Amino acid sequence: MRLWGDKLAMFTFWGYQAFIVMAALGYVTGVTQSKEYAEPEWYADIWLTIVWVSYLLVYLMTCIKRKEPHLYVANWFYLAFIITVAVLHLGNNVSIPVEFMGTKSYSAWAGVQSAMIQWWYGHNAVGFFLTAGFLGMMYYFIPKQAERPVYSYRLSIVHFWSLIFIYIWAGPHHLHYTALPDWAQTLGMTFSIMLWMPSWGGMINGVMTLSGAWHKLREDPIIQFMIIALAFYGMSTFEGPLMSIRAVNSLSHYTDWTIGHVHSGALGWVGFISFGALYYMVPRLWGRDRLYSTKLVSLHLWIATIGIVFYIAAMWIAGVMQGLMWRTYDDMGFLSYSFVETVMAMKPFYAIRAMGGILYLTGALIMVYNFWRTIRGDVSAKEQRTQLQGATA
Amino acid sequence: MKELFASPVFGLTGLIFFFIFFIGVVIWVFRPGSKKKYEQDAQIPLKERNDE
Amino acid sequence: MSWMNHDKLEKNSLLLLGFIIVVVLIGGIIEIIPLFRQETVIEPVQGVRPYTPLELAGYNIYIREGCYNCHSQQIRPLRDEVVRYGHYSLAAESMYDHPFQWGSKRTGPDLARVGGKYSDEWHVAHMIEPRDLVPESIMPSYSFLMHKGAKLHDLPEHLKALRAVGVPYTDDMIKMAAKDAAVQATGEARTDTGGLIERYGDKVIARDFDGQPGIVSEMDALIAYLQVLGTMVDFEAAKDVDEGVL
Repeated sequence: MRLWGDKLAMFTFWGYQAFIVMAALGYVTGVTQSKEYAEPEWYADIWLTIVWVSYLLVYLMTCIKRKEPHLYVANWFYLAFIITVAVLHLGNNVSIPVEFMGTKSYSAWAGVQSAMIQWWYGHNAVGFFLTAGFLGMMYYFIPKQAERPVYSYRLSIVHFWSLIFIYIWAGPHHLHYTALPDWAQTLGMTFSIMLWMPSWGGMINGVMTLSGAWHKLREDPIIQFMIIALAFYGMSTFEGPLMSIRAVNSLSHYTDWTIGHVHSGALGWVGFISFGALYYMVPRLWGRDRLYSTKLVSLHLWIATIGIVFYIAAMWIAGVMQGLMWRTYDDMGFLSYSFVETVMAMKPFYAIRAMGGILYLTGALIMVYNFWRTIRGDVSAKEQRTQLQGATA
Repeated sequence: MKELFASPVFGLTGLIFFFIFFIGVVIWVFRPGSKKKYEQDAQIPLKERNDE
Repeated sequence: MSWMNHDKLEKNSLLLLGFIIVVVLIGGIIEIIPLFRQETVIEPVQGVRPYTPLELAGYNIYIREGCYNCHSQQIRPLRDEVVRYGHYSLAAESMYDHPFQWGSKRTGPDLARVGGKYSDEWHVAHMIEPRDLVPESIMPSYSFLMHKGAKLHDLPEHLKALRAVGVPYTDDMIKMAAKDAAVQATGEARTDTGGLIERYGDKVIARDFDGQPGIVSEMDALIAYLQVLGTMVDFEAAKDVDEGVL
């Protein structure tokens, strides 16, 4: 069925693009609230609120006038994503502009409270935007591409409610050993460790959807994209709880280990599940029987995977190394390394990181080329051969 | 209200409450007899509709 | 029995939405609301005061230039950090930062106690070309701050906004904000700093930070801010809260 409110849906789309332009302009002109993932200033925040409410309205009204009596699990994840991001956005961005015609504002929250509210926001922007939203995509596109129902619908119910309940508590693990009260740090750590379970429950649910049809994993690079996405999801949701343990965090915090962790989630999980969904959708949206080339999908998959491995391995080594260098003492009991020596040690790893990023980007460009040819209606020679073989077989 | 949050009893009560609640939810979700309904729900995305 | 199914939720979008909101609010409420009971969160220490107008202008330049992306301002109570940077950070020290500048990544060193560690001349030279002082540094050059005049005329508006969110600026401070900033960047050798000191205390540093007497530059403001970082609390007087040192 069709989305409710065509015009409002258009407004949501273009309104969000306009917000991105505002945010990007803010980045390059120094207009920032200095909050991670919430840099845009008050006027952009108000605009985003309007766009987001229209998004919720389109989504909710479409759900309400649906023909299918039940709301499928993917929709719950999407609803949780939209509403929770709205709550977080409003809570974290309470601020007072200095003047009506100026860009600068001061946050209503200060010091410890602003830190806690920022990481309640920041961690759950990851949890509800980059996790719940994309889990919604996973629960729809994996069954569609595999042509099989999800492994356990019951598990998906437990997965959903436990994930959204537990995630929201995890923020304080960004503030270990800071001036935030210990009880809040302990709560953050405990819930972060608990979060491992629903995360892996979801991963298992996705992967096991292929049970009984494992040959698809061998043959279909789109399925491969989705399953490798889940593998990265599983890896980063194991790494996350590990890093939330105070003792581990004392080493990893302030280093590139955190950056590596975020990118295994962003490039591996969010990126790959999106690529899988795009490869599924593009031929259907443009009314094509098939993609221009399945081989290029495979090429994209491997180039991007190698890119991510380079990227995160470099960040792991850089992070652990810098963390250890900072706390190394010489025989006399003095610190062994000046700060800048630990910066110099990062150089080769930043080069590897850049190479990983270039590989990942190359993969995405291959995808764009593949889509361009697909939309034009081209089919590669190899693809035509396999089609013929299929017809004669 | 704020004193309530700070008390250790509150933490323990909360833990027990949420733990029991969670176990209850799991038992309820996995109760026998619900299987058929869930199997139908899981088919939702695979149904092809031509009502667009 | 239909109530025993997840049916109700799966069939009623608004009910599902309501349930989701309740479930996601619980954790946030329990972790955030108690933090607003200040007396248990922020230790009572002497000396923390709101920024002077010039320091505040510096704080805003620090944010505008994205310094927080590479520099943290939060020393953890770990042996190596206390040795490298100084006494671990207290909650009270950032209580007037709207918002906090604790940061999350140290591409450069922590700045929570950089105040007084280096001379003004060192800071000026370092901002103009970091590699002149630290050859391996990867910090960008900020030489343009020398030629850019700090915006002083709207400082009263800034103080007013901060007062609205709880910073105890007085009417007098708001009225005199622009003048106080100019006075602080000029120094007692060449102007009367009496009013500034009366309003913000005698520990306020008033001098020509950037070494350019004719102009209150953004460099003046930024260095005034850096030089006050971590210096407000008198740790001799606050020994009582030191018990927890690791």
